[in-house]
Amino acid sequence: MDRINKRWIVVGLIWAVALSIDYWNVGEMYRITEARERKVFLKMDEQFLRAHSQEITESLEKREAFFHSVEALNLELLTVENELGVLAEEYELTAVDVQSQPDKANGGSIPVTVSCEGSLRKVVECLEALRRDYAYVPVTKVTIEIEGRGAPARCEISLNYRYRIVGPETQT
Amino acid sequence: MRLFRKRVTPITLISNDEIYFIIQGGSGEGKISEPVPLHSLLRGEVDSSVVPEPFREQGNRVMVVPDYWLGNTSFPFQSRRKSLVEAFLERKLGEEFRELSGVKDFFGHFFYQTDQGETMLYAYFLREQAFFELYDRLTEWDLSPRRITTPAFLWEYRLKDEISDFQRGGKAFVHTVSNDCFLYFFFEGHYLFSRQITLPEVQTDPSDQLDTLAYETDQSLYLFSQKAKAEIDRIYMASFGYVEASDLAEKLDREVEEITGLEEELTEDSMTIGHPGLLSGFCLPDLSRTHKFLSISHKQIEKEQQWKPVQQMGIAVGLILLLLLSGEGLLLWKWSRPVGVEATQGRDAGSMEAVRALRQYNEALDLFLKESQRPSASKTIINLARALPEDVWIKEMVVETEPNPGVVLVGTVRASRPGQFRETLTEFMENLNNHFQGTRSLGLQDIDLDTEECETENGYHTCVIAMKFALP
Repeated sequence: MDRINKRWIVVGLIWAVALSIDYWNVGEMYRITEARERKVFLKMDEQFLRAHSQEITESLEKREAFFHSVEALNLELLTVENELGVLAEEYELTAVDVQSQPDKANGGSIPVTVSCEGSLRKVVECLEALRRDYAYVPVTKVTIEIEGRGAPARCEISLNYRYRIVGPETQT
Repeated sequence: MRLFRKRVTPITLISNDEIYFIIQGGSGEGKISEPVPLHSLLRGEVDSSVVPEPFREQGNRVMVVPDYWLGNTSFPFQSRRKSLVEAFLERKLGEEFRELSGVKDFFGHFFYQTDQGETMLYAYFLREQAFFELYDRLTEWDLSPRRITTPAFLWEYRLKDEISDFQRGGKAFVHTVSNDCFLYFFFEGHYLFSRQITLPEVQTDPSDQLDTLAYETDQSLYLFSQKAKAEIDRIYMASFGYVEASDLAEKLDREVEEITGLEEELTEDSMTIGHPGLLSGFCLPDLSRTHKFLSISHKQIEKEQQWKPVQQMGIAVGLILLLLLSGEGLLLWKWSRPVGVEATQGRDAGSMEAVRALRQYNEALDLFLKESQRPSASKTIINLARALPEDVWIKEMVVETEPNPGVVLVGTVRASRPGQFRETLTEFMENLNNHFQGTRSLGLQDIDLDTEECETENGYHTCVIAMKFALP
């Protein structure tokens, strides 16, 4: 290899090393900045946590109401189906039929359908009771059919049963 | 006293078919190696050990070859583009010297203007087979010369300073050294040809030498007039021998100007070369790289020399950059260590718990927001019931709260006369808009009225209507 090419290689190597170090330096700068930001955010998080610990605790407790803590899903599902049936009957709804679809379970929720008949007023009251007392079973769809004026309403209520499987010691 | 002695260029001299290697001696003067016969070197009868070790260490910078190894030519040329000129000369020399394959690698050129203002291209090149063989041999020994020049080029460079109108017309220069005489001829400031004459031995009377010199000079003047189509303006002489300028002038019957001061210059400067032949009249610094006498380099070396400053600058700037960036990197590395430790310490159990709690809190807020945005099915049914006019009743109703909140209605509308449909349904739409604020404003165009399903009973017209709208 002639001298000119050897010199070009030396020039190339020196610049390649210089640019590599520059690349590493830029990466290191980002890493330091990121670490410092993370530290600041962590401090802010801790301060926020200390200042709002009461609200956070309450919110977390309130959130629990939106999920049904269960140990054995099948057993609890059966219980819930029964409770829904009882609730419907409490509001004088007849032909009550509660069907769950565990095969369509989706990430901690199972579709449940309640079919019943009764006056529209009672159906509305039942829906309101569901909303108030069963936050873990939100209504997703209501289909009502009324044959004529004054006729009872035939309705199908689609619900979404939200559960969270817990160990015996953590159940609330 | 000189504290720092300037390093002097090593010289390889080819003279009388012998090679001399010249370096600077301890006291500053030229130190000449034992001559090596050129034919022995070319035939491979000697090896690289004939080259003195100090010479090998310093490298072969300048080679001085006899003038007759060099050819030159001059002709008008239109373009001044280097690439064009070089391509042209390569082709021209290649065709002219087919037997010399290396001639294309050893040539130089420059442009000059004649007294008539014409732009001329002056090309000079090496045309001696022995040179190419010698160059190859020296390259094998890693001693390829950087610059190749001749005494004529060295004198040309020197005489430009000594003679004020050197660039104009023809000039002859006679250089005598003992029994050797060198005649150099220049035209318009550029070397044209030279001759080396061996003068008769001087016993008692130098007139024989004078006669010979006058005769040879006369012949050369005639040759010059044939080559240059011009006459010599003036003859200059530097005599280190027995013939004086005034004697030659008298003999030629024309003026011969003595160039004075050369001998004093040489005796004053301790860095004489010490070779009595071709290079007498020069001292070692005359051949240093800073002097821009004409020379020829191998095209590859020429290219190397052209790019060398760029490469050296690239290396220097790169090294400075490397140094600065390394320093920066070191500082960053030192700074990053405490930050890294703090960041690691920050990831203790307490902090992780805080992060987890906050994540759960965020999830809870998202859930609350989602639930608050979910329309209430019971309220939607109540509002629908409130919005119904006397003459509209529902047959079927679908209230969806997730994932696309909306209402689908199928009902019946009753009217005693056709115009009442519009009034009843307008009232229905107004009521819906009032009870479902935040939704898109509903109008009659949102109602699908099936006229084929209309019936008349007890004086009333009843029609089936259908509609759907999204919940806010």
